[in-house]
Amino acid sequence: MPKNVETIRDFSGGIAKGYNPENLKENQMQECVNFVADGMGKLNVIPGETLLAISSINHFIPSRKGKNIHGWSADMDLSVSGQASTAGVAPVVTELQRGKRAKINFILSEVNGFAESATWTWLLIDTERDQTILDVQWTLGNDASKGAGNNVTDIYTGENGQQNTVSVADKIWRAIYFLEQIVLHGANDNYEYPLSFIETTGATARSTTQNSEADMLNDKFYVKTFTDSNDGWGSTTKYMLTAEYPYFGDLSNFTPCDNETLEYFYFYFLTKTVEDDTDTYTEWDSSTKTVANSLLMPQRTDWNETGNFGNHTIGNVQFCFQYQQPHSESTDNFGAFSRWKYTFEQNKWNETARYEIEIKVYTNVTQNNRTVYSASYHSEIGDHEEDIMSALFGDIQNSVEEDNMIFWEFVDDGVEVFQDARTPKPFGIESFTTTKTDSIIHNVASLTDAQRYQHLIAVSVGNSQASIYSMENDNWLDWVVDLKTTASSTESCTTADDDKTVEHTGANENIAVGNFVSGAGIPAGSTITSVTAGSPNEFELDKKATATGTVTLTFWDPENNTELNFVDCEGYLRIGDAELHALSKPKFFGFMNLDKTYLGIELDEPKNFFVDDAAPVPFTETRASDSASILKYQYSHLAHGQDDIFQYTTDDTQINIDTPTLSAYTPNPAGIRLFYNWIDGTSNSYDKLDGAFMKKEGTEFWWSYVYEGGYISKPSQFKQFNAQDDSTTNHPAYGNEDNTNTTFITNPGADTCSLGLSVSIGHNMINGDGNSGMINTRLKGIEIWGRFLDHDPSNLYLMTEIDLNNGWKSEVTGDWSILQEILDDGSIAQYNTYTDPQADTPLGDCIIYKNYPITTFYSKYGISWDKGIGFDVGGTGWRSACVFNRRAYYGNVRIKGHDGTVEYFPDGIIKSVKGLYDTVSIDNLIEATVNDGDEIICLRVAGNKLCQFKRHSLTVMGIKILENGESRETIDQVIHHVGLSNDNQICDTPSGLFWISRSGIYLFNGENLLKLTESIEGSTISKEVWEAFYGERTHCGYDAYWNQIHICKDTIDNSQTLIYSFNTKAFTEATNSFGSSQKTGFCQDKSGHIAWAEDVTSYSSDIEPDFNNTPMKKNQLPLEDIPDHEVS
Amino acid sequence: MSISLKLSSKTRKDVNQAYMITKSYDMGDPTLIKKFSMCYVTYKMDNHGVSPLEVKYKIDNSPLWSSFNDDPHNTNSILNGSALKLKRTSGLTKTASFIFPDPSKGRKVSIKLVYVESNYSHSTEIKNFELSDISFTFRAIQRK
Repeated sequence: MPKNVETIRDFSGGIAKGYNPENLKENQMQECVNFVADGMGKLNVIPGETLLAISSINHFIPSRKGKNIHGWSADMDLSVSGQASTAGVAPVVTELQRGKRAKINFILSEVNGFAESATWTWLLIDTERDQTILDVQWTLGNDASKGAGNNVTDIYTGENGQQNTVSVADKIWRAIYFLEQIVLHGANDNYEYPLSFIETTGATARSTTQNSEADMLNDKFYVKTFTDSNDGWGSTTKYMLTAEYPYFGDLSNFTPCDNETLEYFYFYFLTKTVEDDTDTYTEWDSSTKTVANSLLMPQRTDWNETGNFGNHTIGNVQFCFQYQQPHSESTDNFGAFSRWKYTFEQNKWNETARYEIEIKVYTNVTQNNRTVYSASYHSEIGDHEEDIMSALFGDIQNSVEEDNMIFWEFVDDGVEVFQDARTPKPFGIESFTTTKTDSIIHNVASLTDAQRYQHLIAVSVGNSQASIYSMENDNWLDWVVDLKTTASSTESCTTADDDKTVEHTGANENIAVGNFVSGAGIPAGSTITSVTAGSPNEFELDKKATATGTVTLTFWDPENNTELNFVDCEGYLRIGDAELHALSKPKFFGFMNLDKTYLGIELDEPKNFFVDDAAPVPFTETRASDSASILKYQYSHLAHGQDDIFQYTTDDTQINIDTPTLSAYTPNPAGIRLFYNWIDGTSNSYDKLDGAFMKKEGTEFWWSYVYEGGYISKPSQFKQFNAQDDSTTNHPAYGNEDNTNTTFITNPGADTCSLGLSVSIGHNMINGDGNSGMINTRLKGIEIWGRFLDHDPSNLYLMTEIDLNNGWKSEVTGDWSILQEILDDGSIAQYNTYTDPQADTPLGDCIIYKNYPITTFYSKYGISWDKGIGFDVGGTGWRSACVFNRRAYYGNVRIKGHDGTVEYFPDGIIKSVKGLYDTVSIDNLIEATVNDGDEIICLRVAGNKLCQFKRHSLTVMGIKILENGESRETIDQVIHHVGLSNDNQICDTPSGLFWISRSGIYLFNGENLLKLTESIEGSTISKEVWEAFYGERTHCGYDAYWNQIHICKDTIDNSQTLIYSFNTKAFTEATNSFGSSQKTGFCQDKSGHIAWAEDVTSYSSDIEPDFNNTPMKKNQLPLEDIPDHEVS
Repeated sequence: MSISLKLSSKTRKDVNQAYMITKSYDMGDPTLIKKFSMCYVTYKMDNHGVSPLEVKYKIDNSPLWSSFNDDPHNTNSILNGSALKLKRTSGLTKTASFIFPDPSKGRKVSIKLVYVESNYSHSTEIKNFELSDISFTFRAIQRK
């Protein structure tokens, strides 16, 4: 029967594990480890990994199953440490490898014993290019006619170059003339690129002229003779000719032709020695480009030879051989392709510049002709270095002549440009230059918000803390976000180097067996193994200290090595304790510009990353200090009834305002003083302004704070000014300690009157620097509410808004009005809604309510004013969160309930107020599925659906937007048995949500649910195999760069990874990935690369962290301390 | 101890172990006994010299993977010790040929491509390895 051929061209089907190998589809494999089917048909090696940064902070990743890492982008300013207003480092070019021509030695022994009709062949083929480099066939001729001792024309003898016609033995004559044929043919036989020959010098050099070819090598070529019997080739004399290849490239591209085509001569090439089945010589070392000196002749079993060639009999020929070797005297002679590197690691995204490159490519082998190629690109704000390099090198590659083609490829810190075996005529790259001109650093004012950004990665690092890395700055912020509501327990201790014993004298209940210890000289992750009371007290660590001396150590309970949850909302990060420990409180992290630019004056306030509570508690106080001050014993947020502020006379359209300021009317520097004035005509000085307020209208005043990032504090009631019972003065010196401030109700003095308000705020509310003065870092505004007990006691009505940048406004005055600076002895003492005095003010510019306000707290925020707002106390928080339609959805929450006590809702989702991501209330609790023996593990959005994952089910919810702008969640479907163990098992992809469950692997695009395991449609994994793979620490992440999902079996010493390629919709495996002792889950960097953090337990010489927490390699930019601001 | 941040690279990994096993190919007729003669592997790989990738085969339900014979006419399959391995190809697509020992008869055949570290320390890379196709030549013998 005829021969048949079967070809399998497609391996894109990936693996089908756990199934009969005969039943697989043609493009599937039984196993595929460390290869990935990620393209049309083909199979490639898995992607590599690269180090982004090592934190110098002595921390470790909590050994938990959760994700514990989060990457996000945020708008920011330019003055952050490392984001200096200096130009980025210009790209640099280095020549990695100069193009080199390979050299070849043609070696012949003296020729004995051949018939005159014998034809010798020397064939050299470049198999990479399918080109013949040399094809010499030469018949020995009638050697009898030559006879021993015949003259060889014009042989130079000796090193002085004396030309003689000498008589040489016939065997020598034959060898030299054969080499001469090589020169003749090699240089002149119309090869596209002829060989060139090199003069051999030295005491053993011989040369001969070739009269028949006048222009060949200056009429001579050179042959070196050597007879060293120690060269492993025996004692026979050898004759050697050296030629250079016609290309600049690696000699390894050249392989000999099949030796069966040769007559008599064995043709061998040293780089092929590995095909021999003996080990009597050393392989060519491609890394050092050397060949061992003690080179022995190659042997093959089919030659039936043993021993060195010099002792061999080959056929009937003794002591005769032909041999070809790379020139072994220097590393240059194996040749090399030209390769350059363009290093461009960090572009300043706020910088624009013109980038130019110029590459000169040789176009002939003698390298005296070249073509210059250039490209330029003017970068734009926000360009990543990859954008710039793609623009430059894409242009270059498109313009280079095909013959001299150059290639480029991204490496992790730039681009490499090179020629290789694919280049038809690789004559080398002569030069490569780069320039950067017209650099402009764009300052804050010229950038839009969208142009000011950076990408950040937050990592859980134990002790309820997170460490944050800035990709643009390439540094770790040198402090951590600490969720604990109380400071870690610390103690002064004495350590000894290389010792586990630590001494201390103080008592500290946290020095207990099992607790963690950190500090200078203590290896991260150290725990206490025993405690001994004495003088001094001692405890033992499980690891040896590495430094000696007295240090302050920190102790904490292992429970504080908690998992952290992250969610970013419009650039700001929220960090929560996923285990909802009572001592942890969710935190806010983000870049803020604390400058208050009010009145066009930019105050010199810090611009930086700040940490604050997710639900800050507004600063209030009752001052005990300030003796002899009006503020002594006074509450910080006071309402002060004052007559005749608004001096109205009947029929006035303009009035005078007598604003209470300074002295007895000074507000707390970090507080508010609200002056209210019933314009009821009871002061006898001014008339009543007719309005809707009646005498029976008991009125309260409330205030709430508005925080950057979206938090509204629960309204608090103003307290009454506490005037000292001192009748001797109208302006009491200070309050009365025994008469504490109280909340109060005020009523108008007459029916049908109006209510006027004047607000004073303390100067530190605006010009505090976050360190001293400014207390609430995120504070950006104040809202003042009225509660009218007769009219509508269930609601608070908005009466005045204050924005610390824009000023103030109210329903009755319209747009923003400026706050007035009130000076005291030349310094700003307070800011007021009006100047003092302010005459002839139109009524419409005054906060005077003739009728009740319209906006209620509920109508503005959709939540009750009298219930807890936000995750504002320890133990509150969430297990998972997502953002959809400008609302945050928090799942599995602990929050204050209707009665003000903290309640746990494992089945509950709480959605935030729109655009106010920290403003959440029990009012907005959604419970889709309850009392099902399960709890919410993760919330995600797929398409326009909110997906609630529990351990065993997925509830898909639609979100309807109502006419009033509010949203309503409806349950579309509940899918059982597809739940999650933790949020580390799900990731977002362009194709939808991808997650792993005990029951398999799933993809959901908001409409269709696909099960990727046990699917007959594609690459698949059997139930049995999946059960053996899946565990609670199994996790996954999406790599947008490669369009692959990586599914790691474990976060600890990961041994196996499944890779799902969206390109082929197929699985393969990897064993060499993510195998650290402890790792986090995955997030993405700004380019879509998958990113993760892992513990580092050993360091190379160039990457060694400094445990004093100072910057280091890949983290070298100077850091500035964040202001040690208060967060309460 | 400290923590490091890592990213997936823009380049392929320099792995130190790898293998793939194809399905069992019955050439369209599982009942037919074939005499397999040659196997061709088309691939590419960076750099030069012998790679650590060995090519083996298994016929029918043999418990062991068998070695091919070297094809002296082909320079892309290299005998390294007792292992027949792929030669690196400088990034060019090449075809290595392998000879089934005689006789190699059976109904189906599968191929194993396995990373076997060479005796030479520098022969560990399979940088940018890419498998394009695998071909078999065979002759139908009889139907049983």
